[in-house]
Amino acid sequence: MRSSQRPIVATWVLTRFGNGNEVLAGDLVEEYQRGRTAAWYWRQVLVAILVGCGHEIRTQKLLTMRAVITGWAALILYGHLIGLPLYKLYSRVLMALGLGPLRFWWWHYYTYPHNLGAVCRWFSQRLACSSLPSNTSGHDGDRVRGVCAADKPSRDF
Amino acid sequence: MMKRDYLGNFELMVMLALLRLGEEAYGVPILREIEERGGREVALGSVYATLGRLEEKGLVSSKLGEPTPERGGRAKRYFRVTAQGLREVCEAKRALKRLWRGLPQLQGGSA
Repeated sequence: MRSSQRPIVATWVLTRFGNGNEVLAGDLVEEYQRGRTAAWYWRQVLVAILVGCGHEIRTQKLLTMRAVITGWAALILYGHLIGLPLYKLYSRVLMALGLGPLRFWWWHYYTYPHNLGAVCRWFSQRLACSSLPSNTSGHDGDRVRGVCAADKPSRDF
Repeated sequence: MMKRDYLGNFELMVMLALLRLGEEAYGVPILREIEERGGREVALGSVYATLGRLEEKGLVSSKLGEPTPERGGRAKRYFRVTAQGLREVCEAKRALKRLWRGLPQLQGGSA
């Protein structure tokens, strides 16, 4: 059996982004102490997060759809009001400096910020979920927890 | 014909691992059982996702154990096959046997 030193960052990542699955984290610690490698540990953490994400999307279809639509609507609105004029200005500046036109500006504009935005939203949601106190009660707490954790109370034998 | 929700390949493997392990069926032993007997490397996250799905279907039940220091103070979750789960496993076996029958080229275990 090895010492109890385990990949701390991986454990933190799992508890923050893996639906707060403490049972799975415990299993990983147990297996790691029995001789599994840090690479194995990290792989398990990443798969657990991906599987958890897929499960959330499948079980919370309506919320996922609402989040995607709201996010895109906000981004498009932002793009037309602020983003697009800024990119046009940036393009003009480049032209003025003799650096040539910004080719395919729309490609850069529409792909990177939106994808990055989606990832950021997911991360912030996960962080917000994991920071909820365990005794959060009331309507909002229940609703947020319902979105965050797919963990349902277990049935006893 | 009534629509029947058959167990998937991995679900069946997990169910069989649970049956083999009995009272000691929690994440780590289940993972090892599948890896050693099933001959494939699996991720704990996939095992738990499958167990969650089986629990939703009512084929598996679970209970939380006591936290232990070797797991960093985290508890184990023990799983058990329900009566309905056992019926599903038996039905899956029967269905596979029916499909196997009449395939003489597979009788010896090689294609």
